Amino acid sequence: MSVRLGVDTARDLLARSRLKSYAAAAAATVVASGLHERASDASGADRALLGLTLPLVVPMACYAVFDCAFGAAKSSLRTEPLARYGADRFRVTLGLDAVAVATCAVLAAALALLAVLAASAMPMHALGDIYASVWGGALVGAAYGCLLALGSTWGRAGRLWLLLGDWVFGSGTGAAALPWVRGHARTLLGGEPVLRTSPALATVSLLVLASLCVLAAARRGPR
Amino acid sequence: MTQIELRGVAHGALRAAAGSFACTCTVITGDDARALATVVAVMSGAVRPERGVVLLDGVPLDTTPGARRRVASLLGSENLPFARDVDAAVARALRARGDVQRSHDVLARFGLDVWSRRAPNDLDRDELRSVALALALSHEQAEVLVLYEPLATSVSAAMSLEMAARRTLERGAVVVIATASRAGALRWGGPHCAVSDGVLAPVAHDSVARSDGAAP
Repeated sequence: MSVRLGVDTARDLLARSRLKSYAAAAAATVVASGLHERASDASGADRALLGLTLPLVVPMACYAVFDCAFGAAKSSLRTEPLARYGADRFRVTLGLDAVAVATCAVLAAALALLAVLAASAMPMHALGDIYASVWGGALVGAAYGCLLALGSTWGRAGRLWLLLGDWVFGSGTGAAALPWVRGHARTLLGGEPVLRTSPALATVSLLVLASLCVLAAARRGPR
Repeated sequence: MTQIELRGVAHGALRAAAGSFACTCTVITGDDARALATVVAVMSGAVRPERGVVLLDGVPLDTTPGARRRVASLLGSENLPFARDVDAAVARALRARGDVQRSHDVLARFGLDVWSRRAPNDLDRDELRSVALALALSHEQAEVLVLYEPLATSVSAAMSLEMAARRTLERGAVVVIATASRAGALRWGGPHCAVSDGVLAPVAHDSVARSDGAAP
């Protein structure tokens, strides 16, 4: 019941926010970038994905999702009015985060798809790229969502600090990039790998990171 | 027998509160409205005290969702769960406490159904407290009823609060009323305790006629 209350609350919060405008702005940016990088082979899609979409637009779009859901306050403030009547804080938080993370995944998948379609002169020849980009984008979006769910337990400042850490440490290819989403996302989508890991290992790393972050987010604070 | 116990509780303006409240009506009074509101907030489980613990039948209230479901409360400052309108927000509060009543019925019983389509954010402090009072008094399984200034909401005049409190007591529940008003305290048969300089203490026996059982 408490998880469902969190899910319903998150859906209402996102439906009544400016998320659609932010998503439209992100989509327009990605399409413009894709058209700028447009090429007859896969290089255009790669440049569009790894140049602007993945490093900048996807993290910012995921940040916007959490900002629409939680605002500047700590995510626990959204659970308190329900917890006071007997809802389990841990489960309400899980429900809230589940909707926000799923929204991030769908949004990131859509942005990756748009980037590939806009950057490929012959999209029908790039079906393999499209498939890989959509599920890769969804996984990266979900991982960013989980990272931001953890950051939201400290409020907007927490999200910004974690995104900054992701930018600074995740941009490298050394051991410092291991606990961050950015490096594994780049590896997954064909960019320079972290510690020469394979895309398969990057997938596992993203799943582990995402699970740890969302559980830590829900576990912080009392029930 | 239900018992709510404060063990070494301190939070903000409330510097020290200890004691247990059993199945009777206890009236707490005091000059500091913030400290009084804090007593109610910690006893409702809405606020985790900075120090100490509040136990309901030996179970920590702030970390036990099942215990919080057994408490009906009216705080000094209320917030409804986020929802598109008041009706949906009340429905969420009812679901959180496992109550099968319809939100519209709860609001209608107190004449508040006219607000049901308004956004919770549009309600002012008094309106939010009125909705919270309706939620508290409609809680038919409540084992603790803890109210801050229950006579000071816009719906208070339209209902018999004393009768509602008496019905709750007859179920064997604990009733705690916090009010800064001397007249209000007398109306509830108190005061039994007072918050003075942030410290909750029993009122001297010779200064008021105590009802039996209240023993912080």
